[in-house]
Amino acid sequence: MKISRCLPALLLGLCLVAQAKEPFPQKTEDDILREFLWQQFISLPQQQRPTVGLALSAGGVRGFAHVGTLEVLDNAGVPIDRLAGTSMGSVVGSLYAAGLPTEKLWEVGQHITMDKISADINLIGALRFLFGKKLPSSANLVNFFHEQLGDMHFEDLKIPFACPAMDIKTGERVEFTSGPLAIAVRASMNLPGVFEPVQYRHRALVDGAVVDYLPVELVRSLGADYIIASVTPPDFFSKTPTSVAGYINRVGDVRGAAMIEESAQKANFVLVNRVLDTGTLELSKLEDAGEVGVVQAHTHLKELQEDLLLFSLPYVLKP
Amino acid sequence: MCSNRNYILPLLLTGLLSGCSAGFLGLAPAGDRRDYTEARDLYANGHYEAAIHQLTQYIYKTQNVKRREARAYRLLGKSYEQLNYPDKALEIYLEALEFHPKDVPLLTEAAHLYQQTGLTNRSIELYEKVLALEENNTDALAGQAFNYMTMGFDSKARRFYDRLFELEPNAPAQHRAGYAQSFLNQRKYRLAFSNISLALEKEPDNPDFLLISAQSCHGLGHFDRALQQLQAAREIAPERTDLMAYQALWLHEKGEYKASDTVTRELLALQPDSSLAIFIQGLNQQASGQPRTAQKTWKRITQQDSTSFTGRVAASLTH
Repeated sequence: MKISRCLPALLLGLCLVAQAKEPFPQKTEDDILREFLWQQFISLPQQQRPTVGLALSAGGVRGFAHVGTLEVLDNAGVPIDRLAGTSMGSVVGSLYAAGLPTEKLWEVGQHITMDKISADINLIGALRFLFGKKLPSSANLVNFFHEQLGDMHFEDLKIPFACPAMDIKTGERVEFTSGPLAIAVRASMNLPGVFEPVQYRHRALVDGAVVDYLPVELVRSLGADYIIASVTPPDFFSKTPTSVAGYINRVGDVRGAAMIEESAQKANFVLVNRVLDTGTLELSKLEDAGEVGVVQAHTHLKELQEDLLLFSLPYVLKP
Repeated sequence: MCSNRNYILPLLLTGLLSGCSAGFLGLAPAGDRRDYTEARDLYANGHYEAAIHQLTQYIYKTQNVKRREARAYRLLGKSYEQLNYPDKALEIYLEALEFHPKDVPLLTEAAHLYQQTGLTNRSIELYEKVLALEENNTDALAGQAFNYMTMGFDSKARRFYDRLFELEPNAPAQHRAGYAQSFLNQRKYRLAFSNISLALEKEPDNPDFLLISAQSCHGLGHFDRALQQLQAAREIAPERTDLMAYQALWLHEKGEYKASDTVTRELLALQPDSSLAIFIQGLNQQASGQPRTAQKTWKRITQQDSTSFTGRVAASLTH
């Protein structure tokens, strides 16, 4: 008998230890209590329960997994009272904070292309880079944001939001919590060495992932009591770098992984989205990354609800 | 008369020739068809082991694997399923699919089996193959909808249900209930209620459907109607402790502490170690102005169960 035929059957045999799927499985006692308390919790006004914050990590295209995370949290009614995001996390987070429904975020993922981020990814841009030593500009992202949201400011957002960037001249971490939104988000996702620094507020700004890959502290500074972190850690196993750019990117990834580990410890609950074999700018894989977010958040939703309920119990079951 | 003879002879010859060529080319099964018919009768009469014996002989005495019939494999797989050997059944389906990769009923059986045992990704792959062969296959549409709902893709699941109901407005009530469940998962209670009402028109005595209806009403804030539906479900399935737990909790929520307590006692009579029933008794005691008694009640839970969610909530309340 062929192994290809035996293996799935063997796997199935092992999986049968787990409960078989029924169309409408009977709920366990824990399920019923969780459901009941959750209904009580989400019907409380924001002032009468802990403030819940969500931190979205950087990760390039992998970061689109946050859309899936947001969809699952949204469907379950997880309140998101504060938001912070870095790089792709700032793109997804700012659009959600502006009030865009998750269906719209998926559409954004379907329509975004490199030319919507930069007008210089072409022959002229290449010549400018080779002979003028000038990196491409990510200025088009501002137009793209204006198309989606208009000229929106942080102060106009439905959910308080913040995003970090780094001043490449001083190495300082710069936090954006006010003023025009689009340029701040552009700065937060402005990959160093790929795009020219964003000149804004007398600074030369690059991607916030260099200094704050997972902005847990930032969302806490906005007033969050309970913090959920959605992270998209780098994938070191699918590909081995073979070019100079690849090695530089890998160094950034290693640093990013270390920052995730440190920041995640400060969050109350961490959702880890392992998006494999996806390049930082591989835009064709945005939807796949988003689906990883759905699966991960759905898999861990009950744990998250239980943790948040235990944290909020004095508010839910008042003596 | 003479002209009739002229027709009969060529017809006989053609029939004979085509029969031989079909056998020669491997289009006809080599086994005795009576073996299959007998096996089918054995299956229909619930003699699954005998059916397996008969079918195994019928299938494997045909040396040319391409001449082994898909329907025989299917019946063999189903016999194993009836005897609760899903791993063996899957092995049979996968073996058959090597020779009949485009046999839709075989693909559907295997996909369904994967689904039932929780191997959702594999089930999705097989249903995709079915839909590539028959885009309007309603079993595959329903199966795919259920798979996506299991994985948390409620919107995607609904797209499959929408197509299913478009093709088959009178689809089985189970599918309509699945559709309602997908709305319930997204807290779209009105749509959940209207769809489960359609399912209940077909199967008014289904306790699972009545529970979904009750949950939809509860979500809409129609507590009395929710409790009525729950009571109706309990009358149909008096042994279902989950229904009792919901009822006790909702009665407590409504402030009917005595009625809630009565239900918890009924629950404990069926399930004496029910942590949830004891927990609800504690809630009722506290709400009735007996906080010390409530503390003692919750402590009882922590002594018997400190790891479950119910146990952890009780522990948290007794600190």
